[in-house]
Amino acid sequence: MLNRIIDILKSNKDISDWKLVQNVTEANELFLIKKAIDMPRTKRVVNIEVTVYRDFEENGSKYRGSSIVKIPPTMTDEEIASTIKEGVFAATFVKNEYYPLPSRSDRELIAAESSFDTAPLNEWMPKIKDALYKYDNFKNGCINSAEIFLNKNDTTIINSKGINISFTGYSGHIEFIANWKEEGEEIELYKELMFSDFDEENLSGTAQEMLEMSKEKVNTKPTPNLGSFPVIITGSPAAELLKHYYIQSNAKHVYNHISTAKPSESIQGSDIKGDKINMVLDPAVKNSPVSAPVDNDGVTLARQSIIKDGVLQKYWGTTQYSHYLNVEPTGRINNMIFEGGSKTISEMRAEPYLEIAAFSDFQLSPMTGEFAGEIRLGWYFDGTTRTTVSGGSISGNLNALHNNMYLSKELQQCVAKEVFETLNYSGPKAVMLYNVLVAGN
Amino acid sequence: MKIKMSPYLLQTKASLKKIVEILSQKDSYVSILGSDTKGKNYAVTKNTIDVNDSFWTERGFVLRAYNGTNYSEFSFNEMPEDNLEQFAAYLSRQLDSYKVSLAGSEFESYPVIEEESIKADFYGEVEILPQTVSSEVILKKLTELKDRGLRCSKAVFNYQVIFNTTHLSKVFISTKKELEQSYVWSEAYLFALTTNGSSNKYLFKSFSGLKGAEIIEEMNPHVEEVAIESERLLSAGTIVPGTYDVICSPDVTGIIAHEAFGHGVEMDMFVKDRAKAVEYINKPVASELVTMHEGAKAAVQVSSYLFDDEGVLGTDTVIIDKGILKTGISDLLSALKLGTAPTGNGKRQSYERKAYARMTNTIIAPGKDKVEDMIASIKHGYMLVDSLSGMEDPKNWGIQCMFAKCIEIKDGKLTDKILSPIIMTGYVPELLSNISMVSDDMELMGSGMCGKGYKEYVKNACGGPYIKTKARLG
Repeated sequence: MLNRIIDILKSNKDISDWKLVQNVTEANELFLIKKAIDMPRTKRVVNIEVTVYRDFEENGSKYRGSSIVKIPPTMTDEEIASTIKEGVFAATFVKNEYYPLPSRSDRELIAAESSFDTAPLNEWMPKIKDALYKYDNFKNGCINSAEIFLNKNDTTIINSKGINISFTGYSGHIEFIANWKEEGEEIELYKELMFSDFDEENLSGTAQEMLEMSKEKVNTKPTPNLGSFPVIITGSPAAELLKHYYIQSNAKHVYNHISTAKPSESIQGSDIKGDKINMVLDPAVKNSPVSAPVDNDGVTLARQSIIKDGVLQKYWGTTQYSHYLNVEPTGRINNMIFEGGSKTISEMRAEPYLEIAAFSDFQLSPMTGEFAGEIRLGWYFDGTTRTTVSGGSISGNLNALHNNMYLSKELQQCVAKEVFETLNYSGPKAVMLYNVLVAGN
Repeated sequence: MKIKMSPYLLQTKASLKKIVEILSQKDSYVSILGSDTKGKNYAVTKNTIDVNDSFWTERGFVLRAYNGTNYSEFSFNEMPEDNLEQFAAYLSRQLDSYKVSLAGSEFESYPVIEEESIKADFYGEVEILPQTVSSEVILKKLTELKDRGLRCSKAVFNYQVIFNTTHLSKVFISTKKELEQSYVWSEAYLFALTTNGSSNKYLFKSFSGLKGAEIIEEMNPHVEEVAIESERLLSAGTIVPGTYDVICSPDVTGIIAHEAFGHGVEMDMFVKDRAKAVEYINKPVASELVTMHEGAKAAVQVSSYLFDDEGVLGTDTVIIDKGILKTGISDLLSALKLGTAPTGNGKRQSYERKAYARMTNTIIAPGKDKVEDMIASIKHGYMLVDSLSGMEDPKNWGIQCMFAKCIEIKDGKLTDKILSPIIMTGYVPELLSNISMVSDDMELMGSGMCGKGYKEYVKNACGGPYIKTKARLG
């Protein structure tokens, strides 16, 4: 199939350059209600995306238009040629600044290892299921339902500049709901896990932790109306918050003026009183489903220090946007690693606070820095008593608060999601902010 | 113009029928859904232009079969032109591949699906077929709108104009059913980003429907308004957290309906005992002014179809009738499990994904009040406009909705004072029971996507009239 597409690309004289990305995905999926399998699913699909580039000049300036078309494996040669021709025609009117495509690199490819390589996918499914349910033996609580996905992805990236790379990766994904019921109403908490290796302890431990958290949620009181208050954000919402710096340091967002971050300047504003951000991007984090030796353009990836002591060291970005900003492309790396801060979580809890471990949906706008979320599980400490709370919401603007932000010494690895994209976060388990607006009863 | 069915699916239909026939000799229920969907995204910003096949573009199949206990599925997108017996044997092995490794596991059991014989089709119509308009013409129009947006004010530092269009073709073949449908939905966005040097704001306006390239023209009168309103957000205040009398604009009403009793009555949640709604069937959950509909036939918008992704015909379901919760919406397997009639709400993100009970068009029906009377009835409160996002909580009936802004109402009049951004939280029955006025008009919006939790994105629409209620804002 790939050779057929490449022949058609080469025969089209209007194409300046091209790129082809093929993903062959085999998947096993289990959908469970309590401990029973509600539906077993499998999948084998071949997805091919072709990007065609067309260069042109206007008034002495060079432009590069591009268009991405999808080629299903059942397309005939005529259909492929017609689809590519449409893409080339569209690219003619895509008046973007010129940028080069990456060429073949001599840099060594960093490949992440996975134990999933040692057996067929269907043999791992009972192991993953059993690990998830290992501690599901409480009288008043249980895993209500779970969805387990295990994908094997064979990726091939070929372009007209000589790149021809193939590699295999695994992505595991679990969503589960933890329930608890005592005298009042039954409550539930949602958890998402992503992985690329079999780590039984992590799967079992996370499920156990969620069950224990759901037990705590049973006895919540309404969050009080605290006005402007110190807030500790723990667990995966902390990753969603710190993801802001990943987005702000991205060349594409800088080019589009979403971010005003500049190298050698503070990314946390002036007069930083709290902890300073340190962020590196690493393409080969163990057990991360987004570890990869190259990005989607075929750029060979390497570890990059992006933010050091609160100061932006360099932008990260794809070849296109890095070229626009005249910086060396790092490629797209989806593993972000933040250093821990100066306080333990217990030290953060030394003064009155509202600590939040679960939101309905924590949202932070990369354009404005504004964040908000409804509280599903938290703890309010008034200086003497720690009370489990839920309901109400927090809101604020990170750009106004991050010069007095504390990061925990304790670390975690979890998912930070963008629509259509998964990011892997390693970093502080908790973030403390002051003057966050708390709306409650 | 009438939409034409995918030639590929028409050509493949005979093979699909043959495969179903072969596999039916072994399995008591077999179905195949075939999808050939072509979507295109056009996006123009100050500095960049994109024209790409969209997220929705796909061509492939999902096979479902009764395995003796419940249902197995296999998604695939390679199909031989001959040797169908051999290919059917391969598909059968894929369906059974779990049996050895998961032997000894506990399985939920389901009865065999009983179907009526149906042969039906649906071809949508649009004014302008998107594929008849060249990329050159579309990009030229979007660029003109973008340039107008950028010229509105120095505060506008970027202006994005987006046109997404999707031509969807699906066939569903089972022993007794032969269904096909093909239609086009489109959406468009005006997106203004503004700055005052120290902070940024953004605002968007969306357009959607079972429409083609004609939707681009709908943006035309709104370009400047979006830029000006986005600039106004730069001087917006922040709200004092508290509970207020509010009037929800139709898009806000829609998002409340969607999050509260859309997700709240998805009946796969009933099967998992994850929905509080199951305890409230035939009980009051809202003010008697509230009647809520859900279904592919409840309205004409982006999720209006003949049949869902499990081959069940779409319906118009009355979820809440004058404040009383009547029923939920279901996929086929949940209905089978619960012993209810399926409502045609079994939807998949793609042929690669499982079907779940999902919303289509979710609406609160109009009432009898005039918007001006509703505003006049409020001493101090806010009009909530420009919804950004929402999140469901079917188990505990919490609700979270975020809006770009609210407009202050004082002494029965809308003021010039706006606050931004706004988060509304609360307890669903309380929010809906406090509805005291419902306007006599309505609008429906179908832009964006809806996830189940944090994945499984599908298209749907929601909307309704202006409603007056009390809400906790932060």
